[in-house]
Amino acid sequence: MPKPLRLNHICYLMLNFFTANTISEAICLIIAIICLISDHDLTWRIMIPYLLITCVAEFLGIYIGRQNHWVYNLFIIFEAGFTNFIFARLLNKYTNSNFLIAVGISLFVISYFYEILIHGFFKYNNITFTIISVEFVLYSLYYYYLLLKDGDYIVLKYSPAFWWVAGTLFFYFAVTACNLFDDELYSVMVTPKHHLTYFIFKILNIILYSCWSYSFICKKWLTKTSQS
Amino acid sequence: MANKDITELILITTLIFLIAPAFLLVYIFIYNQRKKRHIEEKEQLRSAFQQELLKTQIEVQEQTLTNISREIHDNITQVLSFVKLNLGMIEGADEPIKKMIDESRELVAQTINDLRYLSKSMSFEHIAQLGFVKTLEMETGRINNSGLIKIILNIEGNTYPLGEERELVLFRIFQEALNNTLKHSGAKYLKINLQYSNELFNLTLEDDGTGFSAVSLVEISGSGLRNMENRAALIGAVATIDSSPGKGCSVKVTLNPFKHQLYIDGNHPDSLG
Repeated sequence: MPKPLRLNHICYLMLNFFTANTISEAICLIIAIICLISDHDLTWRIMIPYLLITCVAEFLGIYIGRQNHWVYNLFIIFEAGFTNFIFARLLNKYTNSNFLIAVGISLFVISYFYEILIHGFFKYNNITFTIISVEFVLYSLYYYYLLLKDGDYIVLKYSPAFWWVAGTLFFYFAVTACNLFDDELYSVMVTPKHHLTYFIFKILNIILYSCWSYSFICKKWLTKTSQS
Repeated sequence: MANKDITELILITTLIFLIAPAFLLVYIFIYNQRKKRHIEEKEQLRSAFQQELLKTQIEVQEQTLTNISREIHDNITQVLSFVKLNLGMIEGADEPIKKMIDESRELVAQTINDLRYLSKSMSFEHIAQLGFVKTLEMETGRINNSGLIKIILNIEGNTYPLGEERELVLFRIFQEALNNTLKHSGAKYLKINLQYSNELFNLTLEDDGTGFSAVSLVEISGSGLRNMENRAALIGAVATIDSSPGKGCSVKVTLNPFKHQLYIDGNHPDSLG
């Protein structure tokens, strides 16, 4: 009976690709395509290629297996570039944030090349990721500060920018903690195979992509409302 | 033991890091709601101020009109009556001069009459005393007699009082519309329709004049037309002005007579503006 076994094996391999991360990312990508494909604003349309790159990176990471750090080292460039771009657009609505964003990008570039020089391209750039996480948390808090300070009232329930920043803040705030206490958290085993950070990252990914998906839906609603 | 404590501490710290954004979002939501209330209160104050300003403007205008009305009635018409009396007392004049004196007396009598009507249409007390419909009938009669324009007054339904303030405002809107028709439209006819139904009161004024385009409507809305809209809004009515070149002009004022509400922003919620 070689055939069924082979099929089972393929199915088993295929199942590896369907994790909480990949599913939430794929759903978010589908929602982004449905809601943002015809959006006039580049800030929002750019979410589609970014999420596509995220999904590809995630699948490639699973496919390659343990030696996948270079994939994420490559992906972090897109992640930093995209998130900085979106924050620049969101913050510029309230204030000129170009200097702030330039400082953030400079810090990222310096730490990225520093880490590459120190340990090469095939080990994950953990410090760089921590730095950009802190940056994004600060951007998010600054955005909320400007939002509250602004004289105009907006309905936060249906504000795409608000929910996008909320997802980003949730994710990077907790990720910062996980990065800081990485060694200690890594030692806490929840199941014999998986440690605590594994589950925390899964939950954070779900929160991040849920918030983003909702923000895309809000964007679609707003576009429809303004057109009708 | 120490290691276990450190791990617990780190776990708690991580948990705080996980939950902290949620608290922050709750705070932002609460703050945003407060901001909304604050903006609404500010808007209400601004609207109340505008309403007061509008009311004061109208009160001052009414007071001025009443003063002029009294002056006409108590002074000018009295003086003219003396002139008429004096003219009648002239004796021993030749036939052609006597004829001229008689004609002058007739003219003075007519002027006194016109001034009395004018005085009445200006006076708030007079409008309040006679009521909107009666005053309107008198005014249309006077205009028809002058031959400036032919006014057709049509009343539908059983008339009922709308309240002194509202009737005065409606009469002033009528006067404003009539003034515009006489000054700008070159119309021969003006049709006035009063519609009294159970839930709605409509005052419609339609002329057959030159009319004007929507663009001109926006351009000239700063004066008389805007005045009509503001006055209507003050009594909770909606004034709709419709016109196009060559098709005359129509002013329609719609009011719910049983809704005693003043609109603090000076704009009726159904108003197109």
